Amino acid sequence: MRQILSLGFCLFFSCAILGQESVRVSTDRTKNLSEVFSGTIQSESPGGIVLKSTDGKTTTFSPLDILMVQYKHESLARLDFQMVYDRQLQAQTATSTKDQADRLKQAEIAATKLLDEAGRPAIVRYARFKLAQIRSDMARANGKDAEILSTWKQTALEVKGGWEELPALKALAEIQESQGSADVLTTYETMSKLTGLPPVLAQRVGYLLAAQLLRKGKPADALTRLKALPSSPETTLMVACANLGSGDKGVADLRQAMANATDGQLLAFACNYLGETLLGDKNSDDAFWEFVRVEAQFSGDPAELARALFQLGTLYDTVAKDPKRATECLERLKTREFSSSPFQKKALQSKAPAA
Amino acid sequence: MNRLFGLLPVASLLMALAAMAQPPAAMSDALLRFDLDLVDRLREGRDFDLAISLLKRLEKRAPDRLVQLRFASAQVRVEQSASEPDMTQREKQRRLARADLQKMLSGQVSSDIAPEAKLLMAQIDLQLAQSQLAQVLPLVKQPPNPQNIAEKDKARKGLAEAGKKLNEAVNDYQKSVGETTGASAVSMARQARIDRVRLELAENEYDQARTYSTQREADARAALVKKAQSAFEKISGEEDNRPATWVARAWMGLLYRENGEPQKARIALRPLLLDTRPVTAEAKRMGRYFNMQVIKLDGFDPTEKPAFTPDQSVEQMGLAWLRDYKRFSSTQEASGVRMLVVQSILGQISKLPKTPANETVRQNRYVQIRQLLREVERNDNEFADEARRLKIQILQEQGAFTRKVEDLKTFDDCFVRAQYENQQGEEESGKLTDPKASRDASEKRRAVALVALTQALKIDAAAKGSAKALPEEVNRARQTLTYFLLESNKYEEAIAQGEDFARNQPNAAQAPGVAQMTLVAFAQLLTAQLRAAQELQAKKAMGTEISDAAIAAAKKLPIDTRGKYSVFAKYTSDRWATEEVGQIAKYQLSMIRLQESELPSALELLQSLAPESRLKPLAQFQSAMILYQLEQKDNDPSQRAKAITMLTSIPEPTDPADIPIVENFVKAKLRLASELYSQKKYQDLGKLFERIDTNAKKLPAENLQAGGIKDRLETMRLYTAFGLANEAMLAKKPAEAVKVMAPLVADADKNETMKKDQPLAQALLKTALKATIQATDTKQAQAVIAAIQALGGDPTRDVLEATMEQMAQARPMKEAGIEQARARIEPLLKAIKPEQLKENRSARLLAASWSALVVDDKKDKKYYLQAEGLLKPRADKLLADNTALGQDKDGQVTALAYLRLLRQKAATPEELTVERQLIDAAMAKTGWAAKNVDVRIENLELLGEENKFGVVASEAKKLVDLLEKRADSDNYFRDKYVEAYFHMVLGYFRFGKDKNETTQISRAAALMIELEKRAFYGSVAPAMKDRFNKLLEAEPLLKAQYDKLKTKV
Repeated sequence: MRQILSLGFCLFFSCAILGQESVRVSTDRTKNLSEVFSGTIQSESPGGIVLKSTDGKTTTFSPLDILMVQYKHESLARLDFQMVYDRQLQAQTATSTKDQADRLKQAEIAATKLLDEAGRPAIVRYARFKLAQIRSDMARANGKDAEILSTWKQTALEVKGGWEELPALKALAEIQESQGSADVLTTYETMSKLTGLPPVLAQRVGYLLAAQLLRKGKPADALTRLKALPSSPETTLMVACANLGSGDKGVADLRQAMANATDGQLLAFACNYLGETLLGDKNSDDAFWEFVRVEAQFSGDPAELARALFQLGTLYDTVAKDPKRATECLERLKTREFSSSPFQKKALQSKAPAA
Repeated sequence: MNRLFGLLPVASLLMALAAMAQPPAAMSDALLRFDLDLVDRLREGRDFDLAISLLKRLEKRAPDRLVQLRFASAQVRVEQSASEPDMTQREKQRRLARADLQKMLSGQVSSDIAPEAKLLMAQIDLQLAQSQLAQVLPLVKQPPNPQNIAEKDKARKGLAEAGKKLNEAVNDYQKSVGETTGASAVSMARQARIDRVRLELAENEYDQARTYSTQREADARAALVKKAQSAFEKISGEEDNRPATWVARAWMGLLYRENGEPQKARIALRPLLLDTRPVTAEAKRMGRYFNMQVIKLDGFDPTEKPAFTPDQSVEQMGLAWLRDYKRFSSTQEASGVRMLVVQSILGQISKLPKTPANETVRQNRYVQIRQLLREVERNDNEFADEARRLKIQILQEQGAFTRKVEDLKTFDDCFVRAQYENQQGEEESGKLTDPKASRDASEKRRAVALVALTQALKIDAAAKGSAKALPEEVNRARQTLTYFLLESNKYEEAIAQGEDFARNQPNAAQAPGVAQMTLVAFAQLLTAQLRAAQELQAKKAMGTEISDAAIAAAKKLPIDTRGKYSVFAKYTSDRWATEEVGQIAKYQLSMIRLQESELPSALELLQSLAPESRLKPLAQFQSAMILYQLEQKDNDPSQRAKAITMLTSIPEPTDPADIPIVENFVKAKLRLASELYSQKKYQDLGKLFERIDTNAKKLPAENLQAGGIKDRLETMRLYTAFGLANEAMLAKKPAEAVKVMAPLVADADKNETMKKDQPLAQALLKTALKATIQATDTKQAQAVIAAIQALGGDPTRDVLEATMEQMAQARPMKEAGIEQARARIEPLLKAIKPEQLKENRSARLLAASWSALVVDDKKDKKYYLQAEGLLKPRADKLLADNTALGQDKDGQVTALAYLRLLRQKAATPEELTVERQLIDAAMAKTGWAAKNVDVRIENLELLGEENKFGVVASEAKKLVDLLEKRADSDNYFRDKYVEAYFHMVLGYFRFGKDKNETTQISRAAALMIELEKRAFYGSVAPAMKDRFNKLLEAEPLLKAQYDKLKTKV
């Protein structure tokens, strides 16, 4: 009797919100915090999702922050969308490889169901995007990195025009970068040419492209791109990165720019970039502190954190004379949190300090 | 009550201060904020060491921001110390924090930040004083003895002084911040800061009270408790919206109990136990702890009828407290709660009837107790010793110490067994008076402890998950193992264990200590191997059959060890670069380089030691020694100058109990003293020696003896006195010289150094003698003479010189002057003990001194008699053996002196007969003086006294003819020739005068002129020429003839 009553309550509750769509967005990547916004999806584009809430307020969600969308659909329940997301999350926190594989499989089945029954182009794009995410995780777990590249290449084309296009391109760029593919710059170029991006996002993509150009050793090209962006502490930061080659002054300017900037992800990039440059100049003492800054202060971007941890895996030993800590960095890098990072592979291959 | 400091994030606080206090600086505010943000992040992650390293780097990069950075360092360290379980580390962090603040305050600090920093420093001082308290509290329960009374007094005094300073600091702070009663966040934060300090001050009064025993020193304790109570009472009456008000109320509850009023205590604490407001949170936590104390020690409120016994209740309340305040689990308060729970469980166990079922309960409860005690032990505070004692007691009751070590199954059992064995070893060896038996007892127990520790670590290595011991405990076990291995002279094993730990657990609190032990093990091993190689070589040299391969192997061992030692020392110096162990490693590394004759490298290492390192003075001394070597090696005098500067810069030891540092100071400054002596900087030397001497007195006798410090010290004492005395004499200040020398003269006969270094001692005493005579300090002069003779020296020559000088000065002053001179000299001559004059020469000199006092032969005959008393016994003995005397030149001089004295003292012609007989016998063909020119001249003198001037002339002529040929070429014979010549002139003249023969007078005058023509005449001694002149003056006849002939010429 009690069970029937509680089932009845659930049904009533589901019905109450059944008529609505929702978007789950990340509010703090460092702390894995997210929030769900409900309402009606007004439009979708590479610039994001426009959602109108019940109180009439319209919000545009950045495509890079969107974690899950629950569309209104005749045959698909909200739970079907939720199922994909939940299984993905469970796979991320799985305690064993088998458990992870099982969860990913379940996520794949759930996402395939979405695709099969989607009908609407927006849901088809969403389902394909989710499937790409899940399959690339599966391929990574099985060590089949080549599959990930092809998956994202195809998905980037399939989701064209939708909010998924930017994250798909970003995922493609990341896998290209991790595999050392020369196409990575092209992908970023494509990202920067996407139309309809909100100015803030367009600017952000501009920074990402500049960062890529810098990592590829093309500071002049990066400067050209940056000049086209509106001035801001972040633009100054990236410009300072591009001007880093100009001796001590370059380093001083970059440090000053870092002090004025607030974007954690770009700061993480700048610290790593400066750290690696200093390492190249055989100044491992100063470099060490830049990587520590990423580890302790700007750890929100797993890709940058992985990069820093990899360097700290050596520098804690050689600079801070703390081999145990160095080993801990490498061990952390080997966890699932960094499974998509090329530095995990390097960490697995590297020999731990003589701890 | 080990309270946590509520520190604001460094960045925000300091940026606020910077905005108020700093002029425009090279490092922008934004950049400083950016770096301090990282410091805050590291602090949040409890990465204190890294935060400190970063601040140190920033200090170098932004020297213009030193004030803020050092303040930040101090704050980080204070925060770090609050959660540090290891007492040594905790103290170290506090001291470093204090040093940071001190450095900061020594520079230019604005008036805004200084009171804040001073307040923090005073709080640190109080915390340091409190750590002393933790060590003396166990003594309060022990029967009093002078040592523990002194220690308690010291701790109490330390607390009182720290409290006084904190009180001043908080007053200054209050004045600097002004009004704090406002409702703004800043005002409230400042008021809270002041309230916190006021609570600390009140608590400090109670802490002082706790150093007195409740039974034996009840009055003194009660007086201080009363002071604490009135301080808390004042705070407890303030506004209810201030947390401090409530905390003070909690304290009031405890102090009521302390004063024997448990019921009042219960009433005071009760409201706190039920309160749920945030403002009372801290007070509630403390109130719950204090309430447990009341129940445990005084039971429940008599009006209540509780369902449980006090022990059961306290156990439940304690466990609830520990559950509710996990964040405080490493505080002293938590340790106190755990101990209350342990005691309550023990109380319950003691009441259990002895049945098999209860035995199981008992064992289970012991497991629970051990877990609690383990937590207490981890946090090294005032409860740790008691916890350790209880743990061992429980294990003893469980029979753990009678079991074989091999049968122990857990890490904890093995580790405690090792602690127990070590403790037993110390107790047993302490009871034995025979050193070997004592050592054997200790070693026997330590061997078992070593096995237990090794087993403990093996068990832990094999354990997984929750079965593993806490890393902190494993680290302690490894530290203990390294120590025991080192103490057992198992150097190689100690090195293996210690190096592994230091390299792989460098962040453990024990790591610096273990690294230091490892360095010691390396040094000991190296010494042992070098010695073994030398012994093997020596054996081979003695003929024992030892193969070359064995010798080569023995020589190779120390080379290998030195290499590894060097690598480890380098690692330690890099890893703990700013810590003392890093400095020790650097110092040892420099010593290795020195052994390898790499002087510049050793020097560089020594000079890189941090100024605040305890070893810095040692490094400065060693550096100076290397610079001296470089001076020799490179023939570079500038190195010497550097060495002297280095020696000069070594500071006075601040801790008299730090023997190696005091010893180093003495050695180094002795070296510097020798430099000052050679530079004749006697005044500086005198001042320096006083400092050396003061410090040397602090050294134990064995340290003074070792390495010859005592000998060098005493020698330098003599040189210093010698230098100062000589300087005083040169400045014509003999009295000062006497003063400098007086202590040495007084102890001369006991002074081993003076006995050993006779030339120095005699030179010194003779200067003293000269000074005393010049200063007319007769009494002291007599003492000097006694000292000279006591040391086997001979003062006669100096006394003779003084006599001659004094008499020469006195003669023109006629009788009064002469008498005065005699009054000075006579006591000196009498002070010389004739029986101690070993040589004839000494007797002759003393006799000459006595004779020198004669002015009138008749009146002053007593002086001749004194001289005769010295010479006659020796002369009689010599003259008794004519043949021997013929061969004895010195004897002949003595005999001649005696003969002269006989002539000088003879008042009548009859008295001359004795000498005549002796001279005739001596000059006979077989006489001892047949060929002695001096005796022949004395004969001429005697003949003159006998008025036999014809004989004088003829004998003198013979002698002149004899010496004629050698007078031109030999100074000695020239002098004798001139002397004989004088007698010849005198003889001819007196004979001519007596017989009225002018030709003889003319002859005498002509002879004088002839002599003057001789080529050597210019170099004839003035005294001799004077004799001729005086003769001319005394004899007008001769003078007239002389002038006449001279005119002709």
